[in-house]
Amino acid sequence: MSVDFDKVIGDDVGGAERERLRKAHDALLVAGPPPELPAGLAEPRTIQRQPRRLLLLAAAVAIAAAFFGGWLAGGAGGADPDFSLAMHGTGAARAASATLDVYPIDEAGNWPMHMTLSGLPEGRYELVLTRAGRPAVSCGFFLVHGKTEATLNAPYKLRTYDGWAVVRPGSPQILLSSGEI
Amino acid sequence: MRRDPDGELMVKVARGDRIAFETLYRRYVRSVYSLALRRLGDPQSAEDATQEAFAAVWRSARTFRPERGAAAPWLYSIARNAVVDRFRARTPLAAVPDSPDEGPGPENRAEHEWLRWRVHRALEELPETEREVLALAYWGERSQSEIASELGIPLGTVKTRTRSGLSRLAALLEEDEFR
Repeated sequence: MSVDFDKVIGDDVGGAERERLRKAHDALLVAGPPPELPAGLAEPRTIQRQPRRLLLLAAAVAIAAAFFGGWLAGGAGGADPDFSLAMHGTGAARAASATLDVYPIDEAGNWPMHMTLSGLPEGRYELVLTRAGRPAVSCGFFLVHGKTEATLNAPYKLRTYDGWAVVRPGSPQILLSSGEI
Repeated sequence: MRRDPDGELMVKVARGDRIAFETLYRRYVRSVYSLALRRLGDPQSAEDATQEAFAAVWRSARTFRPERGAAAPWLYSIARNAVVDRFRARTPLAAVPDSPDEGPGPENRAEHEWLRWRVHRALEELPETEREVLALAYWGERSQSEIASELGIPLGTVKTRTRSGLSRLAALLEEDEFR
């Protein structure tokens, strides 16, 4: 690529301004053209924050449990989950599925969780809370070997997130997702 | 300290501001994709790496500290890490060539990469009319008369837009150096 600076600018600009323009000219030549964006990048992936939904869901389930008596009788530390979610494999792990039981929040602010999953290859994985459908914070790591059960914890305000997902540690690629809650 | 509009956006992104994220995305997506495409060579991998880079920006926005520096280098390093991670994930160690690379050395390459990042980012700030004539002149290799004829505008307008586009680009690159 060769563009003649003198032809582009002419000879009626001199001194410091000419040098400024030459720097920009040189930078354009080094940089080359920006690529055409593929259609998939034309728009950012949808970001939808639904900050109160998880909290509202948890509250609704807790109220329903209290109404029917079992939850109050057993206390907040009882054996029944506060709510349960089904998680489905994404295109990257179609055969995978999981159930996530979320237990009542403790006094410190932890949401204990129990996950049962299958269909993932052996390896180390991470359960994360998602925000706008993207991994946001970790709820812990676990190893998979066949059908696996893992005990995890979400020490967060759930209302600021919109779902759960399973990823490989450090990778943003979602393998299992609860979808938006 | 000079204003850093992208840094101000980053602070908003850290608070979960969707609009700020989308604005930042539009400003940087071409720079990120360009970086990924050059490193990875394959459009699909580059697209994935770009998505991953922006996911990382969203996730890590809270770690951005405006008092420590401008947003552009921070975003560059997030994007580069996402690209390198993808490159490593698909390239077994055994595939690393034994013979030395005959292209520019790593320092030059890094310098060019950073300059390319800044230029592509700065181009997003130019008015479309100026960006258009610069693209035709520099990458379409058209003469100014050809540009005038192609766009149906007077030659003098092409010259004015070219000069003004270069001047604006110079100013944006200078701002980067002072932040």
